Formats: sequence, C-alpha cells, structure tokens
Amino acid sequence: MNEPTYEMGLRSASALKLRATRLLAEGGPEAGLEAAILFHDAARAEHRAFQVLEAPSALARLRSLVEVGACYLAGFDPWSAADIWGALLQLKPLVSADVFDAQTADFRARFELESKAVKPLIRGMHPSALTSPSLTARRTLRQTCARARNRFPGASNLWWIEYRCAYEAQDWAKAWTAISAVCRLDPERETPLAMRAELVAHLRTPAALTFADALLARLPDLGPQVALFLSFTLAALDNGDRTRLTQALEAVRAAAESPRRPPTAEESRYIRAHALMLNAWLEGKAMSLEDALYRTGLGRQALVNDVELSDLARSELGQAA
Amino acid sequence: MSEAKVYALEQLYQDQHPDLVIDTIPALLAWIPGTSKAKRRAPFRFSVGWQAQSHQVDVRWTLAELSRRDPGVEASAARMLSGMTPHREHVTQLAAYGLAMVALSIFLPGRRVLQYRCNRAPDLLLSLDPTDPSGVEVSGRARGGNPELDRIHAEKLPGLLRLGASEVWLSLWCASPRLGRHVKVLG
Repeated sequence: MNEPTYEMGLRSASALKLRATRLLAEGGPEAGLEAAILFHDAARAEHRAFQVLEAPSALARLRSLVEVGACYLAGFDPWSAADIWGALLQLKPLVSADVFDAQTADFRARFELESKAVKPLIRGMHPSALTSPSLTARRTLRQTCARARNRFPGASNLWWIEYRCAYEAQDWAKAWTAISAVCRLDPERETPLAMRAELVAHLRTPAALTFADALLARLPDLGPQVALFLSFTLAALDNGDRTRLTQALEAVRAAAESPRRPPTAEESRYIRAHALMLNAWLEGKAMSLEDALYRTGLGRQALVNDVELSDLARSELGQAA
Repeated sequence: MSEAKVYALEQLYQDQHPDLVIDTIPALLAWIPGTSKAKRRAPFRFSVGWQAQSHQVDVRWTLAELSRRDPGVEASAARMLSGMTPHREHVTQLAAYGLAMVALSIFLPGRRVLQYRCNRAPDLLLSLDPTDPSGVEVSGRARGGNPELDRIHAEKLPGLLRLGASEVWLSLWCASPRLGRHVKVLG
C-alpha cells in the first residue's frame, strides 16, 4: 500500500464531506445541490483512495463500499446508493454474517428509510411521457420530477429528466440549469457533457459561451461524443468570419482521434458527416446535409425533413444517458 | 476538580489536520455561545468527563486568528446562527466534531483524526488500517445535560462494541448546560 497516497486520498474525501456538511448547516437556496455535488465528489475520492490498496481483503472492500454508499445517501442520491447496496450484497458471501451485519447496519437502515421515501415520490413518473403527444402527460412528468428532485437534489437521473423536459419545451435556461447539475454531480459521464455542449448553441449566454471556449481549450482531453457536439455548437455559432467554423473542424478532428476512447460506429458516421460539411464550407463549396448523410452511411436519416445534423446526432446518441 | 484547561480554537489547526478542522470552526462559533445574551461571553467553560474525573475546559478564540485561516468563518457562523437552513442538526453535528477534536488534542496530545466517515460509527477515525475502524464516535445535543448524555452513551455502546475495532472512544457534548465526556469504551 502506498500509505501517504492512501492517507491523502481519504483525507481529501473527508474534507469534502465536512465541507458539504458545512454548506447544509449554513443553508441557502442552493445548499442541497452544492452539498450533494461535494458528497458525490467525496464518494469518488473514497473510491480512488481504495484503488491504491494492494490486494485488499473482502472486509476492506466492504468497509470502503459502505463509505461510498454513505456518501451517496448523504448526497441525496438513493439511486447511486442502491447500486452500492447491490455491490455490497455481492460481497456478502465473502465475510461472516455477523461482520456483514455490523459493517452495513447503519448504511442499510438509512438506505431503507430513503428507499421508502423515493417510491411514493416517483409513483406515476414515466419517462416515456417525455415524447408523449399529451400535454397533460408531459406536465405530470415535469411536476412529479420537480417534486422528487426537490427532495433528492443529488439524483442526477432526476436532473436528466428535468433537462429533457425543459429541452422538449425549448426552455433553454432551465435545460441549462438541469444539464449543468447532471454534469457537476457526475462529471465522468460523457453524454451529459456532450448535451451541455450542444445546448450552448441554443442558449448563447456569456456563461454558456465561456463554457464552450473552456471545452475548446481542452480538446485533447475530451471524449469523442463531447468533441463532436462541441463541433456542432461551434459551427452554429459562426458569424460568417469562419473563425468558429475552423474551431469546429478542429473539434470534429479531435472527436475522430480522441485519446480517451475510439468513437463508436454510430459516432464515427456523424463525425465523418460533420467533417465533410465543415471542409466543404471552409473551401467555399456547396454540400447539402443530404449529400453528407448519404456519403457517410446515414442515408436513412436523409429521408427526415427539416432537421440539422446535430438534431439527428442528438436523437441517436444523446438520449440514453 | 483540577485547574481549568484553556484551549484556543486557533490551536486546533496545529493539533489536528487543518483540512478536517476548517469546516468545524464556524459551527463551534455558532453553537458554543448559543443564542442567549447572558451566555455569550468567553471563555466558554465546559465540564468534561475524562478518566472518571471532571475537568474544566475553557474554550476561547480570537476571531482575527481564525479569519486568517478561513476568511469566511464569521459570515459562515452568522449564516448558521440565522437558522435559515432545514438542516440545523448539522450545526450541532459539526460543532460536536470540533469539540471531539479539542478533547483529543487536550487529553491525548499527539493523536490525530485521520478520516471522517459519513453518518456511521465511529465518525472520526484514528486509524488508516482499512480493516480496523478505530476512532471516536461523536454526538452533540443542544440541551439535556448528563441524563441525555447517559442515554446516548447507553444507546451507542452495543453497536460500537460490535464494530471489530481495536480502540473506540465516545465523545459526547451538550451546549446547555455546557458538558462533555470523552471516554474510552474499547481497547
């Protein structure tokens, strides 16, 4: 074990938990979300600290997982805590029943309490209502989600539904708030970050533009999906002087060559289509969306009326977060 | 009863890891004096049970010194005092952690808290061994005095003995009257 690294990791997680508790103690309108974000950071820090241990025993794994789960519970996120409870049950056969019960008793009691609070709050909440033609169904989903999210501001799945609802309603400011919360609670997931980048083109506020430029400054670190959607946004922001188009081309190239992971087959088709269009625009040549779609294996999408490439990519790649 | 021990909160930054101290300080500033004018005068004297004896511990602080470490400390304490949070129990919780670290620094000089755990016993760990949860279980109450601390002690003890730790302390605090106890329950 690298003891100083392990100790520093645990101390950093501890400090995050104490800072989150301080925010809750101070109160304020955003205290719940801000504390939840810190507790989620703490959960990841705990997990990282544990990775330093060489060949940890089942008991050590159990204790570390319980702490990660406790961070999620403290961070108002019973859904992530449920994942941890599942992982704990998988470890159960590896330790004695007494040890398992003693180590998990506090977590289990609180988890059961929170689980009971979740169920009535999300009763009748069907995410399929997002695309329902019924206004009532969509409004019910939005209201149910907002109620549940007020109680559990650390649940990124609820913020994600809220983002989708707001997006469908073209309430860009609300969609931005919601997708920003998802990204801060779960910064390691690519799709929400990609969707946040995509939203900049609709919102165009100084904060949103600053965010896009900050992403552009770290292109080599971005996953292919984030770089692809950033390239759509940059192209949409071009004011005719081609500066943004050039940046968009850089971004789409970064998407194709992302060192984080290779793009999937679906992502590659959209990357190629967008690169084709950008190259043509920059060379002053005509290139229709249909041409680009047919030439990159997206011919079926060419039969859809009145959409942008980014809409097609969003509906294919950006809905499953 | 022995002579009063004086402890300045700014000293806590030296005696314990600053990262674990900083967020307990505003809560101590908000919780210890309480809201009654008559009681808001330093030093704040706690009767603390330690090794079967009662010790007087006078807690005091210099705001300028604390602000040097954390410029937001005064505003943070004011927000906690204003009661604009649905999570008021966290003020007590953080203040109790701070007092537990004060007691540790006074009665067990050199011992340092190494980790803080979320809502499970013991709260403050003194060990880095991933299989040995040796540490300090902490609890605070706004009022109730010794009967309330006795009740918490009795309630927590069975769970603490089942943790498989080699050393466990119980650190209990009450704001009104100002009482504390820092007792070893295992090891």
